[in-house]
Amino acid sequence: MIETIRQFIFSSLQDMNYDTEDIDDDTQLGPRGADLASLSLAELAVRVEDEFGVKFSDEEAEDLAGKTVGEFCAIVAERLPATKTPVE
Amino acid sequence: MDAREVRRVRAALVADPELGAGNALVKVIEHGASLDGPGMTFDVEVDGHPAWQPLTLGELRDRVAARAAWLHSRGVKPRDPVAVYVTSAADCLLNFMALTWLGAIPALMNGAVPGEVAVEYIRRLHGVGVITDAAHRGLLDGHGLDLAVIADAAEVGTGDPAGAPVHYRHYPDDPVAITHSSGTTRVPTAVVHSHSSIFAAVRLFHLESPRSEERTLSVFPAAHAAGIITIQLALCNRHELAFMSSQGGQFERSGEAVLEAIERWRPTGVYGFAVTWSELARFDLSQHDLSSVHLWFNTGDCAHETHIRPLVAAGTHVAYSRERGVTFEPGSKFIDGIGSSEMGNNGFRIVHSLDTSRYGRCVGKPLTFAEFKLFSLDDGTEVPVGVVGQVGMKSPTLALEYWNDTVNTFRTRYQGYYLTGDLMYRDADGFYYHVDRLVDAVDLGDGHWLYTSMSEERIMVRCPDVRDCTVIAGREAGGTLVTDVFLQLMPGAPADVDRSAVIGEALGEPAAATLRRIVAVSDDDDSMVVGPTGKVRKFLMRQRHLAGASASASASAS
Repeated sequence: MIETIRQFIFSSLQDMNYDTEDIDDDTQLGPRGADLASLSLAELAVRVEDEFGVKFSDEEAEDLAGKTVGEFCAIVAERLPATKTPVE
Repeated sequence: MDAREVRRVRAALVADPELGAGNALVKVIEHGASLDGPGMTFDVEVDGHPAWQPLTLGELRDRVAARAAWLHSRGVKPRDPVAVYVTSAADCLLNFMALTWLGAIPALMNGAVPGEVAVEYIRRLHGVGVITDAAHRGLLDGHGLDLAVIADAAEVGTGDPAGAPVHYRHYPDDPVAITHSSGTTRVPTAVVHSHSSIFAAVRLFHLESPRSEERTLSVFPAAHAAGIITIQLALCNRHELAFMSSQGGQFERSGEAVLEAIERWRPTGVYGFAVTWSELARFDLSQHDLSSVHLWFNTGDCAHETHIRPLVAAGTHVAYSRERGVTFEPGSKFIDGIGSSEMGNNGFRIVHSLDTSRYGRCVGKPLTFAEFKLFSLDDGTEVPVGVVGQVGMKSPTLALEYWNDTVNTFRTRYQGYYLTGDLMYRDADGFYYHVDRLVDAVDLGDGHWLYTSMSEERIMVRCPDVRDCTVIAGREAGGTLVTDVFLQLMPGAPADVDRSAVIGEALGEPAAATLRRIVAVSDDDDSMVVGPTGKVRKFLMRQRHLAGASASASASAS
């Protein structure tokens, strides 16, 4: 499932016109890494919410800047509703 | 703004150990920000530049350099304290940057401080000069102030930018500003900030946060710590910033001025103190175009639920759906916290929106760089979850000390923490709740307390026709403990309604038994005593309304 989430994040970033070539699991989403703008982070969060049926509070969405891609994938995976958790 | 430039400049700023509040303007330029990019915008004319017309970064630097050159030519030197006692945000902030250019110490004064108080404040600064405007100059005349430089703010701007000396090279601990607490009839407390302390929140929080294309309208009083931080924040993040003077003018009419400014400037973020949100509560916000606003930012005292809810219902937020892509939908964010001159920034942060409901004077959780402990009023030990204690703060944002007042500097230190003078409790999830200022709370005995701020919140939530509320409590001349409740009503709300039952219920027992009177005050009523930032001065209200009010509270109120 992590791989599905990762692929969705990468494809979302590409949709949002971010170059993902230098981004990997260890890349932070915020200014120390991918440098997503705040509206882009909010958009990424709502895209993930929409795709995977999870929910982030406003505080959590803001904290995403300090998370790496890998950490973000893990957070999403932990919150998946039971019906949306296929076995990898 | 070019996103690549913003990213490059921000990265260079973060990596620059010399960057701070004293040199942000020149550092931003040094690190490659375009001179055609955003500088600042003011609601007044600046040296012939029209009001509300943005100054580019290059134009801003020239206006600051002109002032630095003029002040330098009059002999202002590094470490010289110079008071700035003016009305307009432009006169205040441009002179702040010019004085720090020289390594001097601007002592920013709120233009609403009365003349006789200002004279004594300036005297106690032991400074070398004052920059003032036509509205304030006469207030200082004839008081024998021994100052080498008394400058007219309009004249200071006539210097030649090319004549400015090399920018002073600041060390992190260098003093870069003196700001003050409220001062209506008493001389305000002067607090000195360092190059690094008043910049710490920008460096440690904002420059580590995602970049944004924010367009800010600041309704902060420019002369206070919040005003200084706001200009650093905008410059370093390359935001567009418009700064209103005097918090939008006379408070009773400031709501209208702020709404006009929002519709004119179309900000994404509006920054203000609690009084601004209270004044906006007079209006039906749906009648105004506030769609540009994504966030409201509050500091100083924390805001009331009654004021926050209409604001988060206005404005817009980003949304996404597969069908429609990215859209902006109704509803904005309100970022609350609590801060003071001494704290040097908000210490806490909570985000309210249409989807949230954590109110009850919740100030959120500590910001990442700040550490808090709540100390028992009984024995000084740390209180457990759910118990009210006195707030102690450790933070790189803390002001260095009280200026020329070592007694108060050390009186407010305890176990390595700065005692903010607030009472709070925290819950099991780590959220903090502000209940009152220590000097305003009253011990009712048997473990019961009357917390005036929390009582105000509870009254306003229960009485939707109350726009704002002030609770004061103290002992009458005969020693009886009494509580007075002052209500400022929503437009059109009847003053003669009996609200005693619901207010008694809001106060709760045993505090309700002390309720002496409920007063509905009008705008021109002098029952309310308000300081220059719009903060109600409860100490003075106790003096006025409760003859013989608690001596201990009188002695310790600032």
